[in-house]
Amino acid sequence: MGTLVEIAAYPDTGVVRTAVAEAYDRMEAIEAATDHRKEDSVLAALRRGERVTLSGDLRAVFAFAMMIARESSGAFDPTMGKVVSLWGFDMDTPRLPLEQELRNSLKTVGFEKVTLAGSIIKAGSPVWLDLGGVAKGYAVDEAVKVLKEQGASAGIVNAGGDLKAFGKKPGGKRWRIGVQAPDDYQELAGVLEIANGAVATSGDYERYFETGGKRYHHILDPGTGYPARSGLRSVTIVAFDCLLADALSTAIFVMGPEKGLELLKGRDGVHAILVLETGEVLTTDGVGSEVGFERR
Amino acid sequence: MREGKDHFTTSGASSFLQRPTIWDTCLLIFLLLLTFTAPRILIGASGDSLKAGSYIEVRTVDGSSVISLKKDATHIVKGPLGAAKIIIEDGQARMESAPCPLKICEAMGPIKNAGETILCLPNRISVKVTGGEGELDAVSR
Amino acid sequence: MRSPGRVAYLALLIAAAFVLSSLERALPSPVPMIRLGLGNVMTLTAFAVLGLRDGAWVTFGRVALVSFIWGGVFSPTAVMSLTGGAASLMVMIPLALCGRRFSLYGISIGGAFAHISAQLAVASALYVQSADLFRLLPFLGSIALVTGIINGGIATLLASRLSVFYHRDLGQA
Repeated sequence: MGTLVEIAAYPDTGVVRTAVAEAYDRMEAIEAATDHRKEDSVLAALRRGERVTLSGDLRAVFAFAMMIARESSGAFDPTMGKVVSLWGFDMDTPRLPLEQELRNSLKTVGFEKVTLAGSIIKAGSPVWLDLGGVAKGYAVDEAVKVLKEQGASAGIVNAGGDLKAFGKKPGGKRWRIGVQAPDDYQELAGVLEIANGAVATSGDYERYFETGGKRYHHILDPGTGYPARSGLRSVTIVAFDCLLADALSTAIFVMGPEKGLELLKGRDGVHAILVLETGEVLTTDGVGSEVGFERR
Repeated sequence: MREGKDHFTTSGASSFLQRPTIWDTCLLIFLLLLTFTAPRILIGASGDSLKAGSYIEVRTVDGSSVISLKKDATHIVKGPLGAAKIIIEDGQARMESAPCPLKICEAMGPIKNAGETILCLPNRISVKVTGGEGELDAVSR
Repeated sequence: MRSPGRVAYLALLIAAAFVLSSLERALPSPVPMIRLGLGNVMTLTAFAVLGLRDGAWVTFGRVALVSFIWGGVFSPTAVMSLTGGAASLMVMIPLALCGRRFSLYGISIGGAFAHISAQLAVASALYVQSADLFRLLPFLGSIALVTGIINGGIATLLASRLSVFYHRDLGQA
């Protein structure tokens, strides 16, 4: 994942400290299982067109990703691996691909081409899976599970901006979560107040490069292969699970405000804060009532 | 010898060379009162409040950085005169082993409320508490 | 108007002020913040012996010399010295103009207080953008008032001795 993970858990006892160490281990294990760069991994086998059996974490993450892909009509697509590699965002050496390369790589994209039967993936042709969009959220949720199981009464797990808070923090007040303002890591767009739950943000300022006077960010539109230009600078989702928040924030970023907010209809306990390119900030109804939000 | 109020020549000299006067004492009392009441008024008027802060902003010639007050730590900050230690303990910050001659800065700490400051002028270091009630548990990016 | 003898006395006082200020700067203080402000003694003496205008010259001359010779003409320390000196003059001169009402003691404490108040104000505005520094006022102010009294005494003593020589040298009755 390459991100900094911070875990804080209460009360500060030896047992809880051990739990924190285990939580870190759990997150590392999930990262190893879902990392598509390793050549001997299951994901590499998929790229060669082999039929594979997914186990445990990988299966859970993949199944969930497929569900969101269906619900978002492909705005979120876990089969974007080849396109992402072309852009180089996953290797920290980003570059602008040639149009021809991009078109070729887009041919490998398409979640409809893949089916999960039990734990076995069937695909007509080689598949490039990139689960980065959801693996972090899943890891955060699992880390919180470890903490809870081992006796922590409250805590917060933050993997580079995708986080989950549980329990009553010492002092009894609600958790205060800042939402970063686009383009300035020292400024906030606002502060959320939640009793517990997960918060994830997708923004065009997290990973990007500029060339020829244009900025190319890492949230790619599976339809075009290019960075999504939907009029949004960032999408912040509040939900019970970080896996859901992570996936939805990416999907909605690609879909844009209107279609994106449609995706949230009927989802209880899910709230969104959208920062538009115009600077305007849109929020769903629950923001300000079910969850607190102070604009900055 | 010229009498009178021409103070710009030598003859004005004698009016000062005397023992302390009643006026001197009045002035002294007035200034004593001022010295103890002015700070309350000035600090209150500027809007700084007595809320515990969560970060300190440390400014040196090289720039500024923000350090959390929640983690006990020792930070070494360098200025033109040398290195000084900023120690964070129990949510408070203070300056230790400053290389300046008067060590005023060392006596200015510990600080913990929003707006409170420590200033080491010779070594060009300033430490100011910020954050107040806006303390955050995390930031989503 | 300015006789050579007078200029000589002025130069003497400026030089003495410079030496005293330099010594004060050079000696590290065992206790934080205790500074005697001895340079002002010469300004006060000048008020008594030479007059107010020359007293102002002593202050500015001292500040300028100390800044030039010990470096940092535009540094914070120099700015602070200048502010302190200017502010103390702005208070001392009106006090001195009040006929016989204030002795050198009063003038001295007024000047000392104005000196550190102005320095705190400048530091608050320019360097920290916070009025919080005035927390130090009670302590620094009290020290200023005490040293003001001491300096007033020293200056009175010095001036009375010096004016004897001055009058003798310059033949004034």
